[in-house]
Amino acid sequence: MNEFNNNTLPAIRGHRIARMTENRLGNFQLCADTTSELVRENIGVMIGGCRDREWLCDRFQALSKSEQGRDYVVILSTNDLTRYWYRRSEVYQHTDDFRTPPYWREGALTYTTPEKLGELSRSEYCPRKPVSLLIVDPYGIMPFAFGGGAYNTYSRPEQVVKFQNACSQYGHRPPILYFTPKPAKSMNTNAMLAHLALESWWFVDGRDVRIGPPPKHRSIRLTTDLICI
Amino acid sequence: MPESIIASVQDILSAEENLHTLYDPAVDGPRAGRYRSLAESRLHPEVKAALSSRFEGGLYTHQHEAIESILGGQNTVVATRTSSGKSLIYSLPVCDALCRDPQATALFLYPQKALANDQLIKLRQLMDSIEPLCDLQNSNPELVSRYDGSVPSQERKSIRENSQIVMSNPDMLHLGILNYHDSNWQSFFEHLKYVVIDECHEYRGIFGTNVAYVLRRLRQICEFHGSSPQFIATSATVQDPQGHMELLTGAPFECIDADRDGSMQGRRKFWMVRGEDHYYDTGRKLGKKLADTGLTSLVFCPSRVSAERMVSRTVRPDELEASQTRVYRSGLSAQQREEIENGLRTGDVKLVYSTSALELGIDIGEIDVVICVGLPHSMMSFWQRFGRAARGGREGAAILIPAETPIDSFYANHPEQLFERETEPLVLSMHNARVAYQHYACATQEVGGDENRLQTEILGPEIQKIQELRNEGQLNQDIFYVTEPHIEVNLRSGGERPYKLFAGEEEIGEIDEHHLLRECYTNAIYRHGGKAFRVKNVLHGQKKIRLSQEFSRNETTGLIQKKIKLRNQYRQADYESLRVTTASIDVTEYLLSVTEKDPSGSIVMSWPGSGGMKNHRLPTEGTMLCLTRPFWDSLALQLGPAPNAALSGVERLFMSLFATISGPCDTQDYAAAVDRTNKDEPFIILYDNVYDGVELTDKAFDLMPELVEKSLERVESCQCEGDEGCFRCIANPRSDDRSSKSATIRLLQAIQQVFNQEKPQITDYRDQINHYEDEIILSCPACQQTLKANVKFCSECGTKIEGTSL
Repeated sequence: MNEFNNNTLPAIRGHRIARMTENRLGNFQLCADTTSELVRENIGVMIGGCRDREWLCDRFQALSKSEQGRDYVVILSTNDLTRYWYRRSEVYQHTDDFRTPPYWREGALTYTTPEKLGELSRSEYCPRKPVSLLIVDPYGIMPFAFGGGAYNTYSRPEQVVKFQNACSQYGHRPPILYFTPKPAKSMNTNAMLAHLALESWWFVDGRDVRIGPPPKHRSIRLTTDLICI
Repeated sequence: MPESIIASVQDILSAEENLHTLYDPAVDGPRAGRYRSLAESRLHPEVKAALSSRFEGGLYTHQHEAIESILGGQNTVVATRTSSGKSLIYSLPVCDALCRDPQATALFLYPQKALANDQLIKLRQLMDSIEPLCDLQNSNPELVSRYDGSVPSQERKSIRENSQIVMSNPDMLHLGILNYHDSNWQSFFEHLKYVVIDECHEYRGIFGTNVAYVLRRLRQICEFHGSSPQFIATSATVQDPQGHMELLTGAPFECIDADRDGSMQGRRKFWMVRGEDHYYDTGRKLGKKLADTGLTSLVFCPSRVSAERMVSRTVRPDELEASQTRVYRSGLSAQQREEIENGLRTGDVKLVYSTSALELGIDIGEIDVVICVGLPHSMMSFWQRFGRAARGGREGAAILIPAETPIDSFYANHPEQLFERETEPLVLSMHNARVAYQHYACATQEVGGDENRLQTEILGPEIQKIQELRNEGQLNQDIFYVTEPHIEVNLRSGGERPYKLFAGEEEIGEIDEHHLLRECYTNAIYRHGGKAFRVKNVLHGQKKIRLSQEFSRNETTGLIQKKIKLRNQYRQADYESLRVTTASIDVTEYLLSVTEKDPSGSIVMSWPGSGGMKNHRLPTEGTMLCLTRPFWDSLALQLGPAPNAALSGVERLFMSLFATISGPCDTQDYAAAVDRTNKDEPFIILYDNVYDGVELTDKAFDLMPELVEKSLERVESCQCEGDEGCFRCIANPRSDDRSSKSATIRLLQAIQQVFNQEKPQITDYRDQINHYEDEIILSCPACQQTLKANVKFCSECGTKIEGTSL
């Protein structure tokens, strides 16, 4: 029995596509079975061609307010993006401290940067069993930002993999969902695999990906196969 | 200065009791020049006027013919002997073009930066003597400029804007010129009239293949800018120059070959001698003796390490600066090399121990004697080296000291065959898929990223094939998607960029990855410019090597082992007891241990293991002789206690004697190995020593019986005593392994018997192999992407491929 089966709705949904041709291969939804398969086969999900950061920020805020009761860790790849995201957050609206913190929590989502993942994993605020790691990378370069610093402190992909490993000790290795506005066919996705210690990518069309709870008027048929996060 | 150089050298050789002359042919030359009047030339009148004072009798006949061919609009290659005035042949049409069209531009490509520097000075001097060009040069001091990696970046912008005659090398053309053709070089390409390719024989092997693609890309860019430049190529020693240049550029060529050479030649004398000392010591001492008598001597050494060792034994390191002795090799800084070249011109330097780095046509003044320690790797090198002496109608002498290897011993016994040997054909393989992919990606970026704009009729059928496969969605290598494919390409080695050498904070030179495992491994004593250093760290990530100065006279040796992995079979000849196979292979070299010895040869220290050195992997092609298990078992009983020694002996003989049966070839381009780790079937393999192979050792497939016969003849006729053999037959100076002459003879006899008695069954697999994607076997069930063997997931959609295990 998968421990995430108590969730009710698929929070992230879209269409799986082939990388170069962008032909649709079927539906994608981050349900319990999908998560298990991603973890078991060590596969990442690349959601390329997403709309701009404003749209992503809106969708993630919706996700943070979902009532599923499950945690996600959002990794923001650049300082600019982190600042933008933080200033739009509710935490920022209710604080006197305008400096961007190394990590902050908003509903179900914990936001941080790749460099601060180590710090987050040691802190008491770290979600112990996040459903997945959501990497937001506007330039599609984070997996190539490795090397530098003593003990590879600034090796971004290595920090992500270390964080995944740190989560494994609590019984669940969260899969990686990689959001970027660049289409997957324009990126060297094979090279990214090695840096993020993945076996393969599933490609999801970012142009029609849905993040957050589905609209309330739509009825969702629950089956044993579709018990979602 | 002695009256006759030849007589002086003869006196010294006769006075040496320890030297035995093996070959003493008659003096060659002198030969009077054949001339054609300048009046018959179609050159611009101003150019002819300037030449008339310097060349009263006119130009040499071959110069005249070549220039007329060029002015007639033909791509022309000139392959006459050394010191026959080839640089004038390409300089004059360029001057002519500038006189007729002051906007005309020309690109000169040299394989080495030192050559460009030398020719820059000469061309500027020539242009100063032509009135309109002198004015042009005065108004634009950067009219003729070098543009290569050693030009400071702050000067480059001005050169790009003002220079009309650019002297560069293929590396810079690839990385710094073609890459920016539309932004920085538009005007240059629009008016490009001539492309000069000097020392074209240097463009062979993997370097040649890369340059062939670069030149095709250059033609594409010229077409794009509306120009159609003529190619002019020169080389002293090249077989089939016309065919080589046509393959290199993809354009038709007119050839002026050695038969039409009308140049004047001075007297030249050749000796082959052998001393009683080691051949290194013989060469070193003879060079010193000749230099002491006032003759400028150039000693060519077989390797960089041997050149450094010779100089360290001739002069103490603290006296090196004040002495007239120097070492010259790649890896020295440009400044160090220029100092030595100037020293030779002015006469301050009398003795230089050099590697092949001084072979090419750098003007290094008047060299009296050339000594060649060991037979060079190719006949091209042989003639290039001896062409350093007797230049410009002067007398010169050349001495060859054969090494203690089977091939040198063969030619020491049959010297007349050495002079009958032709120069090597230049090997280029346009089928090298990896290189073709890289240049496809570069060419695509140069035309704005649209693959459909590629001029495939210029770029060649290989590029056309790749384009077709790309359109079908079959080729999706990473190189097609990288942002800057030009950076990914290393023209020289097909490998990665070199390591930088640091002594303290000072950068003293660089070394490429291929030499790293042989010379500059952790704990090695590395000699550089006559000084010794200890290798402290090899930082692979940063491509840096940290050295500290060393004052001991010890030497270190690294024991390197090879592993051979078979990838694809091409052809197989099945005998009952053995197999001969050509195949694509992976050769992995790794460091097993390092040993330090003092000058007496005693072991001082040894370090087991690789010391953190990376393995060196070479994907290539080769021909293997594989002994089947029952045959080997029965043989092993006859070979006594040394069956492995027999395999090593055969390997050494094959390696040395392949060049004598294959027709001419460069011995650096191939290597041999023996695999005893395969317990079922041991094999001996000859393989191409370049990335992805150049189809050289492929010849051994048909010539294997002849190679076995020659090897048997060499080992049986060697006069050494004792079963362990000598370096002239089977003993390997680089290995401490046991050698056995009798076991080697028995093994070779057994193999020869099989070849004589059995008829092989030949199978050809080549039709089944696609050179461009030889591992395609299945397609993805979800997206129909074509996939390679043994993939776990589809790279296009991540679907798990059935039947593969995780």
